[in-house]
Amino acid sequence: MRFMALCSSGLGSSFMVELNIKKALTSLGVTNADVTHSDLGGASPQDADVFIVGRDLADAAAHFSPLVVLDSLIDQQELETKLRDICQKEGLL
Amino acid sequence: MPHEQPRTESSPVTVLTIPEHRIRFLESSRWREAVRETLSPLVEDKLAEPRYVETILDSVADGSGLYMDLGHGIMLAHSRPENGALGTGLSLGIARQPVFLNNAADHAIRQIWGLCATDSHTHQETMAGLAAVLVNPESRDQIASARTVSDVLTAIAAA
Repeated sequence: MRFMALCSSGLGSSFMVELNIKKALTSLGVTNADVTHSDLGGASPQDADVFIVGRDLADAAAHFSPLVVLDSLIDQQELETKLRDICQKEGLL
Repeated sequence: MPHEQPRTESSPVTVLTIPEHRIRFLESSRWREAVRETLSPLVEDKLAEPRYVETILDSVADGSGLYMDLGHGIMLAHSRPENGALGTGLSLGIARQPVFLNNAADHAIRQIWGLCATDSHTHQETMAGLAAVLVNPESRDQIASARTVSDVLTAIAAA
């Protein structure tokens, strides 16, 4: 299962979210996940199975699916809750 | 399953390093001045061109840069490498009073972290250290209420 964090620059906030996703998946007990980050312009909907963005980019990233939208990019609790939901939906948990 | 894992002596620790002169206490309540003052040490240290700062300000002003608001009153002010990044580095501005990005009520900021990087991969350690500090609610609060540079460094070291 491939997870991709997206932001406009592709190296700041999305990189941080990638690191937070890895931490969250470990804590949820999800193994064999591939987590990366990219800028919105350079990514295509085929590049991953789940995409993660912050609330301010939700509209710009609407063509990526499934899309997890975060209110805060540094709230580990929120991230874990939303990743748990998507992992259950995708049959990983 | 508990969310918090106890830290032990053997836990891998990523230490975030930021030179003291790149930590500023911001007096202005105007968002442009606050962001500019936070990023100025990166320009002075020749890690970013002046246009790097202007690109960030422009993108916040046109709304496309509001994603730099990470939540919890923290902004990660950064742009793409080709917009004038010359090296990799961090700076920090702590606002005495909240500044509102683009004057938007739902974008109140107390801490601005300035970041420049020349590519998407070589600053892994910096980002890991920064993530460790910023996802920690205690560290965030300690930095927001810091009165001195030494308070900030203590909070970063404890994250």
